Amino acid sequence: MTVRPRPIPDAVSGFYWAAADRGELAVLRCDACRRLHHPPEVGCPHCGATDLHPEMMSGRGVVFASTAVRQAFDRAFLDAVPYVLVLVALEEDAGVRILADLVDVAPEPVAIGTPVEAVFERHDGWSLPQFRVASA
Amino acid sequence: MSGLTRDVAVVGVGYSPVARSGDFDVRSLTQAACLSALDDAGLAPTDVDGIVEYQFGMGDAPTAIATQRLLGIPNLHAFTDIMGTAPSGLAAAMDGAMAVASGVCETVLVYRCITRQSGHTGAVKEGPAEARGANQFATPYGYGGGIILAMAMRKQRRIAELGGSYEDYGRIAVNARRWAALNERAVLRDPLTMADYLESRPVADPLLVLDCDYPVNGACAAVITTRERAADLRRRPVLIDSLAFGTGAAPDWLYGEDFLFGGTRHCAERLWSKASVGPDDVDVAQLYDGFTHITISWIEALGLCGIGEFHDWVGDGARIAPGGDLPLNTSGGQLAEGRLHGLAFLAEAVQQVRGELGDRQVPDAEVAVVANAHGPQCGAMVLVAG
Repeated sequence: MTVRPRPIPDAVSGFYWAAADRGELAVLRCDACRRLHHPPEVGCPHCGATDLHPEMMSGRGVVFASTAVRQAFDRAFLDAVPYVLVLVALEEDAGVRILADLVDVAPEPVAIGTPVEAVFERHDGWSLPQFRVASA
Repeated sequence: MSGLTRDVAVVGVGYSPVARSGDFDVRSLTQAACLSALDDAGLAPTDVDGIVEYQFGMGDAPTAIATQRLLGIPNLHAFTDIMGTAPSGLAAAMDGAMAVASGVCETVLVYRCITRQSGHTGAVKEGPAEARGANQFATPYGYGGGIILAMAMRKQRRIAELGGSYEDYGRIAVNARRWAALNERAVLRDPLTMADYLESRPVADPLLVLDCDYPVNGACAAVITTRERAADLRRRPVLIDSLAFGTGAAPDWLYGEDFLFGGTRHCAERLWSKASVGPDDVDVAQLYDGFTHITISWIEALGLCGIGEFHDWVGDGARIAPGGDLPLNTSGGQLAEGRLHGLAFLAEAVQQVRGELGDRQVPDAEVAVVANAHGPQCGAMVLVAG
């Protein structure tokens, strides 16, 4: 049984994990340059402005890159290998990438550009955004 | 006149013994490399007034002042410990060169000591139960092993975005062993075929174990001083013609703007803009190969071939092999000489430009380019014969 490390929200990321608990994917948008970024920072990586607000995403995107992990690096994932790790480029802005596992697929790299959608894995007291291949 | 405010030369290089296994003491490894580099330069420890070193901060290397103490140097005018977010071991030489070029110190000793216990050597670790900071978005997904999985994803992405084939990566791995056969220090000297490469163990598809460098216990050091001082020393000086850093926008191994190249293209552009020579003048290239993707990135970023043209440019690999028109990683690099983590690319380049490498000497090598790391922490140097 894979016991994943539990993400601990910080002063900036609380909105992200709270959204995940509601089954939503949230990303910060900069009030100044209007661009999105992830992971959440205290200043916009594109312009440095500090007024940033969470915005709910559709949860849809495409596979930007993937790998089928065959070797565990942390003991917690010894039972999990092989699994597919993906960077997902979001529908709202392909420059925003979310790292996740691609669930319910064979353990092979997944073609770049494959449409995917967010699903939320429930744990005891917290939720983890994951992705699966989008239903046609 | 170089791209620096005061002309600077590398006047000595040295290594500790390099081992695949066995006991080690990082102080002894560092001491051996530093004394070897000083002897190469014809200098004594007391001639040194600056020390710069790079480490992961995991006990992998003694600090600059710890090394000052064990070398019996009474005082330093500059000392810096660089942590793991800079351009690998080359960062120590880059910062050392800046200290000399600025006049803060006159003669700087730089080193990188590293062992199999530091960094991520593929071992299964006891992961944390909680993920904080940047890790909260990564480790819950089984993202471990440093940048290994980021490199696996780059390998897949490159082929989709720029074309070529996985054999392109194999050219780098096969080439490393060809050169290592000519280097007695190298730990992996057996020849490697493309079939061996393609059939090697997948760590994270499509990344193969032979895309990854080989961990060793060892240290490498270099001595850098002014061009003026260098003229009086033992060896033919090798001048630092240009040096440059590069990060790219929104720097990050996973989320940086340029995923495939990271800061390599920014770094290369700056490097050549400050150099007295250009990519067509390069006689020998020593380009980081912690992962094969990194080497290919640098070849293209530095303009040794066009972006996305590596596949056609490298052909069967003869041009980067012994006797080729662009000899690459002539020590065998970290894939075969062993992971000395960056500074050894500088040491090899210096010896090539001095023309003293015997069987693996590139004839008439006068211009060398050295590059380290990838993603958000790129660095490079152009070296020319003094």
